[in-house]
Amino acid sequence: MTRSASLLVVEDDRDIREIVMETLADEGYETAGATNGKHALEQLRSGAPLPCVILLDIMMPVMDGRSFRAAQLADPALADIPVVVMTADADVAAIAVELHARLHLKKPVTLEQLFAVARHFCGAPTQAG
Amino acid sequence: MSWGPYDLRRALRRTILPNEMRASGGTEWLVGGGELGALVRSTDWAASKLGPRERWPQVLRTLVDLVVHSPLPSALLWGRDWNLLYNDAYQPFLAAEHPRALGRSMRESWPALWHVDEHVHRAVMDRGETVSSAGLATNEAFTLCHSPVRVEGGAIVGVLVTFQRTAPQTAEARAAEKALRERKALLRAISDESSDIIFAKDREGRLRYANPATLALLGKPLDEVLGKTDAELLDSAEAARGVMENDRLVMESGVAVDLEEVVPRSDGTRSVWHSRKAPYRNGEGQVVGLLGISRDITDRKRAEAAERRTQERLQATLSSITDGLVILDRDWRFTYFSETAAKMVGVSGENLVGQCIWERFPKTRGSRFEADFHRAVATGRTLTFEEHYPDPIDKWLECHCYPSSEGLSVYFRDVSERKQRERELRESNERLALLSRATTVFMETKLDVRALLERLVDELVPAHTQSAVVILLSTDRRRLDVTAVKHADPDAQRRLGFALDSGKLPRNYGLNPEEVERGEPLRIERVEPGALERFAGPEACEFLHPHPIGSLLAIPLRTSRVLGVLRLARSRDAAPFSARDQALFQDIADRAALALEAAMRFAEAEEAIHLRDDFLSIASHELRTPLTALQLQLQSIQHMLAREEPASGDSKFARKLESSNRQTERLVSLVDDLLDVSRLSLGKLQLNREALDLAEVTTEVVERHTSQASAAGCPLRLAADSIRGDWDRLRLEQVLTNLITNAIKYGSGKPVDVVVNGAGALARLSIRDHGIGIGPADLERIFGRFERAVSGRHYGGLGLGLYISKQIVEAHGGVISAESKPGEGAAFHVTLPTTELKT
Repeated sequence: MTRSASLLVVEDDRDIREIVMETLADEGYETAGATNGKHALEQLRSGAPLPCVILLDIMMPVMDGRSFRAAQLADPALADIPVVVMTADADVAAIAVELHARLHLKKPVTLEQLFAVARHFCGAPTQAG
Repeated sequence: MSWGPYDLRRALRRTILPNEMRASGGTEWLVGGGELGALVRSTDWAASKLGPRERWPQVLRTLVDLVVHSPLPSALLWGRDWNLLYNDAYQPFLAAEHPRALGRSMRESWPALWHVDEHVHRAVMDRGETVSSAGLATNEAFTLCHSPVRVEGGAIVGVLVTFQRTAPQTAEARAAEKALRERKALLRAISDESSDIIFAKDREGRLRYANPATLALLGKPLDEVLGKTDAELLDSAEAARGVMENDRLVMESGVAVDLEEVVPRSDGTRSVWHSRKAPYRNGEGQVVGLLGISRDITDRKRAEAAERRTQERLQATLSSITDGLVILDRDWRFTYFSETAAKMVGVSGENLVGQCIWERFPKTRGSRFEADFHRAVATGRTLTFEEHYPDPIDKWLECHCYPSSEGLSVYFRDVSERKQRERELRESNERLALLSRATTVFMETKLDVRALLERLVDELVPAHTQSAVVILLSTDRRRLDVTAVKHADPDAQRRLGFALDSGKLPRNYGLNPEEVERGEPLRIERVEPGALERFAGPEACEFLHPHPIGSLLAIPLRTSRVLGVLRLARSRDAAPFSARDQALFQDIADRAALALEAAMRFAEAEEAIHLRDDFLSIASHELRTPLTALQLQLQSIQHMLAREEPASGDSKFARKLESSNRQTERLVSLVDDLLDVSRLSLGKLQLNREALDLAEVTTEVVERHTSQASAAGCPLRLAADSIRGDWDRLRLEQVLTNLITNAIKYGSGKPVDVVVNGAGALARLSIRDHGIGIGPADLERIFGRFERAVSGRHYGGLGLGLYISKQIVEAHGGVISAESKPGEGAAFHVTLPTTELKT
């Protein structure tokens, strides 16, 4: 599977998910969204191009961030996709270490942080929004 | 001369014969007459009581002539002195006294002459009777005849004694007479040798016989006492009257008696006599006299009196001592039981001598009394002990045992009062100790309800009660729950625990909340059948049953409200719960209840804090989600505006967006602080240490605030020396941000100095402003939660910044402090160890 320059936003809160996707899209990034871990796995295994980074919320229904990360790491096809933990939990740094995540973002997330993450993992946007 | 009973009998058998004898006259007289005739003639009578022979009265001459010529033994006793004149045939009776006896007074010289005695003398001389009697002389039997010799006018001047040989006797009679003689001799010897006085008296009380002891007593010769009454013989008329009265009673009643008579001695001292007095009867059975034997018992009486006095003194001594004394023989029978002892054990007036202690006082059986009495006797050692004798005596007795070969003497005293005092003191001490221990225990464990109640039942079981159960009312007062259970028997304890866990025994212990709520104590001293069910509920009873319960106590646990009930049970063997016990346990329960109330309130408060912190945690988490969306949205709009209309930077629209963005950031900051506080109060602050340079971190934060500081007119002046250490970057940034924003906020538009340096293992950070400063009272509390040095109206925020900073610094093992003078600004100093301090 080749990796596209898209970001996968796994977030159960619709407002956040949509704003993050919208803002990144405006900036020129491709985005995809998943409402929980299970949904995200389905998308990743759907045959579509794999994202360059996954923005992962932790507390979600159906399948939470931890379970998703475990399933992802267990799947050789998906294990290499970098993950940025994005949570309101105060122990976000500790969780990031626990999940072997490359970076973490503590909610509320700033626009600057989002763009920085996108630039870091996906390079410059392909087009300006 | 002697006058034994047989002589008396003989004398009393006398017969009175008519006497017609007359003295014959003559001028020249006394021719012949054998040896004695010659002796009469040759004797110079002038010196004798009879006077010269020529002047002898005619009757004397005639009788002397008659006597000397008689072939049979004959004698004349002349005058009141019984001057003896006799013939040849009479000689053998005198034996060695012949011829000296001639003309001599028989009463002076030969009082022992066998055939003449005072009785005869009197009968003949005084009453003119002729007395004949049977007698033996020189182995021949004679009949003696004593005849009075009268002169003209009837006066008796002498006694003529003639002998007639009695007809020859049979061999049997001779043997009998011999035996009689020997018996007489034996009796006489006994009488003579006796130290007792032996005497006989006639009906008139005249002495008819007196043995040597009697004479010795009277201090007079026989002839001075015979025929005399006690009135004449005794010095004391009163004593004589008494004796004679006794004699008279014996003779009148005809009954022998034993009696004691008191007779004064000549020296004035009293003598006491034990007398056996018996009536003496003649052949017709008439009482003619009295026989008596008396023994001087003065010494014996004195000894007896002395002994009695000794006994009385001993008795008095024994009675006067306050200790009771009992003496037991080797068969455990009382030989003495003092009055004090009898009073002490409530048996006054009862004769206990001879009774067996184990039978009379059966509760000594199997008690310490029996054991120690036996031990004292077995070891022969003195022994002291104290023991309680139950009803009906119900006393503590202190016993001192003195064993001897005779048995055991036991002195004892009633020490019940002392024991009572001791017991009270001991109990009071125990109570105090229990109370103080309980209080300590409750203080130590006051914040944990279950631990507290377990300590409570541990204190009570098994020291004071067999089982203890604490049943608490629920907060809503509608349920009961067994919170602590303890039973002295581990098996019962297990059974109870299992029954409660398995639901076999309901958690409400079979009680109903309304009853417990009333908070009334209940004490049952003796559990009657059925009482248990009322007390503990039927289910609980089933489990308590293997240990029969003697008494029960229910103590309410109450403060201003009833919290529950403490139920105590004692076995049948133990003393029942007393009112005093109830008071003590109520005291303990009150203390327990206070601690319990505090513990319950603490638990409630802790629960509330947990709830709050949980709420804060969840709330801040939940708040973040919309804040995230809001902030992103605002920033996104700003971003879009800047990109699409670069010239709009100063527009009204852009300024409103900027303001909205700032407010959102403040909201985020507040939410962060709230969450931090709740995490800190839960002790959840965790550090993510990494190698850092404090100067670097400080520089970053200062740069981040440069525009804000400039806007406030408080330029930040940084002087930072590189100092490296293991710290949590985000947390240090939090501290720096907090201190710098504070300095800008309170800096009154003056520069703020930020200094970082290091010294060895310590890093130092100082942030000084020159603003309004902080008052001394405020300096102490600015690091507390929700504290601020100034009124909240002027400055925003919750005042949590410094509190959080302090917690972070301390979590790093560092110290934060503040110094200030009002009006001269404030300085905050942070010192951090460069490495984690392992504790």
